[in-house]
Amino acid sequence: MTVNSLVLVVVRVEVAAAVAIVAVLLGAGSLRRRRAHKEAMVRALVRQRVTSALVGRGAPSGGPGKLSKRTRRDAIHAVAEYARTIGGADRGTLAGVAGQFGLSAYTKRLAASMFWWHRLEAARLVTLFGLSSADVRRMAADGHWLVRAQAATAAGSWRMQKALPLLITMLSDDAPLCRFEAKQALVQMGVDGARAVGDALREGIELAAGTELNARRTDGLLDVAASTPQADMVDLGLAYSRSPRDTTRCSATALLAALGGPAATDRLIELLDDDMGNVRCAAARALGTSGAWSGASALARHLDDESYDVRLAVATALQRLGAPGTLMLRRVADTGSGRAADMARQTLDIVEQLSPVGA
Amino acid sequence: MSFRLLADMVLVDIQLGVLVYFFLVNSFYGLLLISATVEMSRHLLGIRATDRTRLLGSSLVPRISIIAPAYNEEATVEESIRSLLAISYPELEVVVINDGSKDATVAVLERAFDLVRVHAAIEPAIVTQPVRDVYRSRTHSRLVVLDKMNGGKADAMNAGVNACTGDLVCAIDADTLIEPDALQRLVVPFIERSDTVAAGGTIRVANGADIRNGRIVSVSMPHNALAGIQVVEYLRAFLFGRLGWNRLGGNLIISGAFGVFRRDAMLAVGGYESETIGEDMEMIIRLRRRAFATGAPGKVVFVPDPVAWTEVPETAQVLAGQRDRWHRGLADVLWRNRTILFNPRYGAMGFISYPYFLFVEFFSPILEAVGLVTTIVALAFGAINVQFAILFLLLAYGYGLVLTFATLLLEELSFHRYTSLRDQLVLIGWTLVESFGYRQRTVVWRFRGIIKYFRGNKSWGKMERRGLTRPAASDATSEPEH
Repeated sequence: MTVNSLVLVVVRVEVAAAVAIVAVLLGAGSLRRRRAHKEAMVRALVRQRVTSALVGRGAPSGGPGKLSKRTRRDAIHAVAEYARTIGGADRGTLAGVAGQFGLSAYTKRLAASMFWWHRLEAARLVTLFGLSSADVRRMAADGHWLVRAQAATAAGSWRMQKALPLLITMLSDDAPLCRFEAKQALVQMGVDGARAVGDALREGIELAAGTELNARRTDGLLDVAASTPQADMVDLGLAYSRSPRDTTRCSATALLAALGGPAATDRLIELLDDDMGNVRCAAARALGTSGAWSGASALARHLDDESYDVRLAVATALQRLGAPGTLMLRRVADTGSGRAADMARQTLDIVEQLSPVGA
Repeated sequence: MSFRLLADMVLVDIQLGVLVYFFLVNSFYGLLLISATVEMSRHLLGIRATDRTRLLGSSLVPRISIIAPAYNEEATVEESIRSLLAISYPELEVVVINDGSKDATVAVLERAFDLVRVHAAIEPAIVTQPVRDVYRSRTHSRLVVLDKMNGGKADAMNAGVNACTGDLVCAIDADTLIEPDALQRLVVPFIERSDTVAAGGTIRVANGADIRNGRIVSVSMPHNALAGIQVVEYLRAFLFGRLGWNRLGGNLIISGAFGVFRRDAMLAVGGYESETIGEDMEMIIRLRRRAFATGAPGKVVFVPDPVAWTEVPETAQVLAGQRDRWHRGLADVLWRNRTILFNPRYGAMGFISYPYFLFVEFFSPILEAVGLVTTIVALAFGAINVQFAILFLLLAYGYGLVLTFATLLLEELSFHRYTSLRDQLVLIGWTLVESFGYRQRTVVWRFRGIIKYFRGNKSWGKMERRGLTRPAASDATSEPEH
């Protein structure tokens, strides 16, 4: 075979491949347009069924038996779209509608699959339609991090108390998304989540300076606690604010801010002198959030901090404190010099020109 | 040996070299396509049935500051900033930097957003041209406007990085339209992996789209031929090029028109390099080099579904300037980072990504030009077989078609933004004809960029914007002076 004839063969293969791809491209486009029409019909059926179920008039005529396997899947996903916007008992009703379209057989098949994306789809569907604690345990032990993260989402979404220990364990998961979702879920759990977090923090005081796993878990617990503060957590906030790890001290400041009170304020003022800039920054923000007027003069002293981020956080905190903060800002702007006065003037401008309350 | 024989031998050797180059480059393109297909499948499976709106109610998401530099953008700036302020994200700040515009950019902003001047106390963690004024809006608390002396796009971005307060910085061009849920999608890599320092989304061509109130209402292929061909180019560059790199040594570029970065990492590398016109690519390479040198986080990812829309040039003159500038930027960045080449310290970046950008992206106009000229000369001298030359050209053309059609198929099977049969046929049509005239012209423009680079030209040239929502042409110029 000569070189020319070899090249000719390759050219022919290319032409065949190009024609085939174009055919698939146009075919896929045409199929999509036709399916869009079919999907609209399925959605109409789903809408009708959901409306009937929600107003308690029972299922309309024209059952799911007429749907093809593929359309059945579309129908389940169409009901799932509703589930995102509907809560409470109506969600159970929706699960019933999805059940009529064969939800349980479909999710069971997906959940047992060897492919992670099938298990993930199953996990997302059970998240929407309801799940058992066994489902959550299975998902939380999955080898794929996306499925594990979904377990946390599901537990939070259904406020599943039995999953609290799993969520707390997941705060030290290797995958950041799992840790993020576990935190979100614990926050969603409200008081129950807060109590469990408080207990875990109490147990972990002696471990705070321990391994990286413990550190991740502790910081995560403190973040959750700051979003769902309980009055009996002051001692925890104070204890963790003395942690040798700067990230833990930062997380503790948010908890102290959320709790407030003289002890928390005094400790936050102390933390304004921390060696680490990120901790000073967090302490300043926390004082602003707590709204503790007694922190105003301490904050004003730190308008001259060597770190710009700290100065900005201090100025913003003073702005948030209202009248006493503005008074301090004006004092520094009038009598101070250099970077402290600069920052005070900028914040005063914002307070006076933009806030409806003014100075 | 006669001169004729020697010339024939040289020509044949050059042709052989071009053939080997062609084979290697196209094999790599095939690899990129496979990688892109795998990445796309994985991504689509991962986001199926997901509910991203949950992030909207979360207090745990990182704060994002959008940094939008503007230079003589009075025609489009109000619309663009309104679309930025309408983005759905819980912790968002928008910082607009007027880079010494000569037109009424600041006046338009002042009037549209009820701006008031506040005392400036911004610490220049990165040295920039002086900031003259800082403005805050009475009507939009999330908006900050900086008015600074002209210093170029990189300098303006650096001023924005200094002034912003987000954990993440979203770098965009002031005329880019970001889809409302794009940030919710682009923040995911930062939540999923703690070592992510930069993430980029897809840029699509806005010409031809129906845009109302800063939002894309419907998409269709542009009527202008140059814009139409660029739609094909952008799809190929993002869906097949950038996506493929996620698995093959990592991306070296995140588009300056739409990318998100960790602010602390940007500050650690000293911000954008003002002395180059390829500042977006240069920043990415510096972030990755720092990661190799210090063990700091350094993952750069491309995510295909967050979308930003941009207006592309519709005249050859403006397009020529843009391509010439892009190529000069590429040359400059590659030269500045030449020590990466085949350096084991940089792993796959030293042995795959950098060599690709050098030998394929940078040298391709030279080699294409050499290949074309020597083929013509060799044919004239009878040094190569006419039939072979024609077959080889067909082979090259066919391979390009297969790759581009495969990209169009990837688009159809994933995001299918071009929904009508007409649009699909137009896309196929532009794919078929882009190799006749258009491609050769881009070779010339890029070749000119190389020559200008060696002559030390670092100007941005001019880019005329028609204005994304205005049918009438405006005379704005988006590139700063140097």
